Amino acid sequence: MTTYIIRRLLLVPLLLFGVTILIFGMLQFLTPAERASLYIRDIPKNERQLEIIIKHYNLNDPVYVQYWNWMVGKADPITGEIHGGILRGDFGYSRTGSEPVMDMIKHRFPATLELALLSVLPIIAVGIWLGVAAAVNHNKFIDQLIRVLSIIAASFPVFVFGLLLIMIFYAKLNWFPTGRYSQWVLEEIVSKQFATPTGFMTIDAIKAGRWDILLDTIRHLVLPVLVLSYISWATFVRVTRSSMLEALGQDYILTAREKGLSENQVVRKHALPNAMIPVTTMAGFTVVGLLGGVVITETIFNYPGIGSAAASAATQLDVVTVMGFALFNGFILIAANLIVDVLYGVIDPRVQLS
Amino acid sequence: MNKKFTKIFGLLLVFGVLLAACGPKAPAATEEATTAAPAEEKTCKEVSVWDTGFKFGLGYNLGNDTRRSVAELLASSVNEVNEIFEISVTGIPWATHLRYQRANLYPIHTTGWQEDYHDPHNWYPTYLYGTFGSYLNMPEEKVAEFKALVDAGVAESDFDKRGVIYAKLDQMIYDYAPYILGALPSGRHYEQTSVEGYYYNPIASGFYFYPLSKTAAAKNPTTMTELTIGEPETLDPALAYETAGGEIIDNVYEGLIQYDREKPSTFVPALAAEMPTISDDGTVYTFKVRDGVTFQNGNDLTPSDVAYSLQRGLLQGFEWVSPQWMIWEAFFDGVTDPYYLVDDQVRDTPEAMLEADPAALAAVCEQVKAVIVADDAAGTVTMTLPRPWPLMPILAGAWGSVMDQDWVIENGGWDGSCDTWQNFYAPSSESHVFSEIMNGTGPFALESWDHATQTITLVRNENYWRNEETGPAWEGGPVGPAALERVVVSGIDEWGTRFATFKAGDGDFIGVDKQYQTQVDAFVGEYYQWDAAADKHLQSTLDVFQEYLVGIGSPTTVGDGTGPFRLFNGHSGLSRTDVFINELIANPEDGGNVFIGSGNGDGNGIPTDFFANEHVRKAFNYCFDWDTYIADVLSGEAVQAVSTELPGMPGFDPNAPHYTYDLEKCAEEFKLATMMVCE
Repeated sequence: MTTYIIRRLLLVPLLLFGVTILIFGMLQFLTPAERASLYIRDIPKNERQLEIIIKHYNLNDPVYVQYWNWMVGKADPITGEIHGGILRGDFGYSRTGSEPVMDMIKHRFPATLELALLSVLPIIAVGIWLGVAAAVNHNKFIDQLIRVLSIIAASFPVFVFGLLLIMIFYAKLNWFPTGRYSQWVLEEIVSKQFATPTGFMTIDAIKAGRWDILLDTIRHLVLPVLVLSYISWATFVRVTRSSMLEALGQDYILTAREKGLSENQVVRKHALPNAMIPVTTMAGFTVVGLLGGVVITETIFNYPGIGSAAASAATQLDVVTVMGFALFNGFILIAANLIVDVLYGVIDPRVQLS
Repeated sequence: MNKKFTKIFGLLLVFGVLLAACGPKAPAATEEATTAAPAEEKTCKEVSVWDTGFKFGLGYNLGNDTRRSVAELLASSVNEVNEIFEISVTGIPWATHLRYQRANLYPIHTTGWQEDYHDPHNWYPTYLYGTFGSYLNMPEEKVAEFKALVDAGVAESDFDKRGVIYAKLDQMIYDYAPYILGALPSGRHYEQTSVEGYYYNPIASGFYFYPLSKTAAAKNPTTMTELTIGEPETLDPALAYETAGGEIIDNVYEGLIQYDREKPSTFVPALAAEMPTISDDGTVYTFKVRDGVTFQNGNDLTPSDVAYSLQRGLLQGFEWVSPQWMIWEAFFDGVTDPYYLVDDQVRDTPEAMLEADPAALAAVCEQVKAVIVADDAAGTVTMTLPRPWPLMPILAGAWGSVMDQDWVIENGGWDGSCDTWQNFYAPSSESHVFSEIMNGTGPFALESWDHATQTITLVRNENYWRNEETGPAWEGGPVGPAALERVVVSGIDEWGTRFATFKAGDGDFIGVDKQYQTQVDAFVGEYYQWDAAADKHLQSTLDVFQEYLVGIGSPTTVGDGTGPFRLFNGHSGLSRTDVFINELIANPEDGGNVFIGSGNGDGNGIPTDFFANEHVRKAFNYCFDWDTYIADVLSGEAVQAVSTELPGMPGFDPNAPHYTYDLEKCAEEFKLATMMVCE
């Protein structure tokens, strides 16, 4: 096991290096003029405007020079300070975020993490529960209902569902606003009346005993959590249902029933644990997906996480930001996959990690 | 080596190859415009355009529907007039489009201008010999003729006398038909009915919050929230060159003068105690700086601060990327950036500027300091121009803002010395300290800028200098601290979310793109219509609004008057898309120019000087279908532009001679036109 983990860890820098080359290479498909257009918001006044920007930001340098500068940084001609260089932990400056990419990640990742962690529980619990209920009641009314609902859910676009919820619960009823917190909370945060040491609004509010802020945070989280759960439920239900059905058809279930165990015991003790293996794998992937930021949900709910920022950077051709986020996502993905793989070995003793 | 490792290295190798393959493209060697030089003697003869016909191509940058529609409208009208006239319309990717444009390959360019300052001089030079003038390739004598009139116009300061000159210029442009004027779109403003005091200022970058308030019954009655898209790039008034930043700057910083409420052509003093005295020849402006004004950090405003702020901006430069080019133009005729004055004219990047000769650098700075001089004892700032220029509208822009010199220096900015300015030349708005902090004299101060939520919060300046004694900026205007305690500018990029926030009452103003207007219209309860004669919005009825909507083909049914929103409709915009006709198209020998077909007047192309014929240019003007253009591209909300300058400017006449869509006249002009065919 230890050797396996060490070997996987040794691969991480190589994988990341590959990721940097891939990301950087793909972005070279954009011409310097296209990349420079990010710097001009209104109608260009003069064609020289683009040329000046291309020259100013060295967008015309040979690709290896640009890659080198991106990796190790470039010295400022006046102060001699080195700017940039992802190896130095400096991902560059984000035009779309108006702050360094690293700060953007620091400010936004806790928001994404909080949303992801709060969504995981309802996703897994309700998804599995419905899936089991459908399998146990195979071909009965409940099964049919759950199947129909999950098909509807899977085919109902998330942005439509999200906007529908916003229109009803925000625009109409004013119960659950969008964003992460209200303006008055933002003012308390920027004026340092309310400190956010962990970056998780819920935890910080509880720690400070600020129930008003906790309530405000929850009001903002209800809808995005609901939407995220709804996207994942459909898949969870179907995977759980089919693997439960498979497990319920096994010989050992028959044996258990023969032994005279109650149906409840059969399902809980014998079928469910075996059916959980594929579900665990999927849960792992779901969490990893959520950590990378959920683009549509975050954008619709104006939620200041990684996903919404990456989406806005990508649509505006903000190369620096897109590269920074892609690299960060790559890192998260590699790390999370490693953890899932290791956990897999723990859950299923049949899996040999060597 | 383990198999897995080999695999990964193999993959990396593939990535590497990919990278190399899509690496820097060799710069196109033949970007310079070269017209075809005949290799051997050719016999040429003049033929009739009408009988011979022509084929050529119109390129537009892919994704720009306005430009596509313009091209398609021209193509179909011309073909309707005579079926042997064929124009093909092609979408060109942005980067290639720029290359073609620079190489002068397009027979016709369609492009848009948004004014920087409200004066005819921001339009005519641009169109006739500046940025867009270079697309026209007019003969030099003609350019000189136009330029003489433009120069006469800018040298005159009297509104009516200027008007006479510009009217003459408009007539000349009509006669020569160097371009096709498009249409001027009109704008809308939506707000909650609980907002009080909004008026339309055609010039301001955004909203000026000082005179605004909300009814006591409103949700959050002392906080005004604007829902918009994105966030500013920089809050440094010398660097900001976009409206999002301009709006914040206009509320926090102030300049010597400002616009007189909604009147775009008159000014009132702000940080100047009174309007400046201008020398008889119109070149020396003396401003008396207001006493007793303090910056938000408590420092006193001095004339030196005023001079320093403008000098700092000029030396910060950054041609075309920052707004400083227009201040340069005013003070240094024909020069748009400090690098032109520093020895060899290639020092247009910060790195190159640092290597310049220190003596040359210091000399440029001295020149700048010589034209803007502060006299703290007399309390004045004197500005000297090389020739008369519309300095007032330029100074009224966000770039005319006054900063506190001591505060700028404390925060690491330029110390005012001629030995160091090059260190501050052409700053990137990123990692630029003044992009994020503000200290002005205005009615609001920057409280916070939260990038993650794209929220800028301004808080009322309790020590705002304007009081009973100084009087209001305009009759009936406010004095003392602003009525609003806070202003929140919140960027919500997704339309549905932004609209929901507005409907929930958590926003007072909302930015609405044209395609979403129909959604908001259904909730309009109060309607104000622009009245051209009164030069402002007047309250109207929902019936009038309904009629208006039917007129522009909108499907929306207006509600019963209980809707929560108020709409101000119909004020004209400040940007326009026009069509520029190229009199001398480039036709490089290697492969030629695909847009001009055979490059010959043989019916299968056009000669490079096809548009040098006046009748051809006029024919194209008559063949442009404004009504369809306005209905299809501008959702019916625009009026045909009749002159280069905007309504309200000196010499503007809504009945000025202009072309109308007339296929018969188009055909007549084509029948008069000739071109050369060479063999």
